[in-house]
Amino acid sequence: MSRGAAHCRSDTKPWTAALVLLAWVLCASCNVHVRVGQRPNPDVLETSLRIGESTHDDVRAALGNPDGTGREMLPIGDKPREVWSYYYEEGDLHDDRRIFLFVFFDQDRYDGYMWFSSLPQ
Amino acid sequence: MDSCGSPTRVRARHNGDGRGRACAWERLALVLGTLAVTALTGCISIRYGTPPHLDHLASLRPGVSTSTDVLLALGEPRGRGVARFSSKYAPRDIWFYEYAKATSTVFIGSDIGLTILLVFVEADRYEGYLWFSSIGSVTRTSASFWTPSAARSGEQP
Repeated sequence: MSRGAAHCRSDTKPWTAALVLLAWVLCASCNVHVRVGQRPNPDVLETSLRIGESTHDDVRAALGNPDGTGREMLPIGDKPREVWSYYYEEGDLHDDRRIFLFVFFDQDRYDGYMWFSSLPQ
Repeated sequence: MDSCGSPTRVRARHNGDGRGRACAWERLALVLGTLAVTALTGCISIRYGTPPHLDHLASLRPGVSTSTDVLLALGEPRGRGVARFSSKYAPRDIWFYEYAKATSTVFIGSDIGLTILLVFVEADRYEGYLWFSSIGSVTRTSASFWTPSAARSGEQP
């Protein structure tokens, strides 16, 4: 190897090493784990709660405070109802899964639900 | 000091000196390394799940098609669920299909899209579906809700 080429390598070595180190640090920190909200337990919808009997407070005690509130008037219904929504998500850069849970109220009474989840059971 | 960019080095390169060629390769490696780091920090692309076969929904018949038909038409769902819309209705199964796509580029911005498809199944019979999406040819969020009653009245999705 010529003397000039050896000089050239010694000049760029620190920068190359720095770049490799930076790339390694970035790759190591790339796999970010994400969690959003509190995971609701849909089992309580049929075990702890009673349709037509349970109240807002009962639902709050069983599932916690909702992440959102709203109203619905679906084609299968005959009047608007209040909706409480729950959402939880967890994942990383390789996979991400979630659960949506909706609770329907007729006045102050628990009147139905819908949930769907891609989370592992 | 005899560095890569020195006049001595440039002259050597022009003269076809082997030292110049070696130095050029190292410069190239440095540039590629910089580009790689920029790419790592500047662009992230993520995909979760697979796009649901929305065009296959038309092949399913509410009240007629079975769970097996749904499986053949749409594939294995990514999740499950249950809906009991009110005391008048029995609980029914939900097959949950989802597809998420996210691209983040420092210089262009972020683009996040999600497609969700719910298929309702009761007592092994397909009942209807609900889907919404912000991905692909859908330039704005759209939604479709189709029920057995809509099917009976001849309404198309």
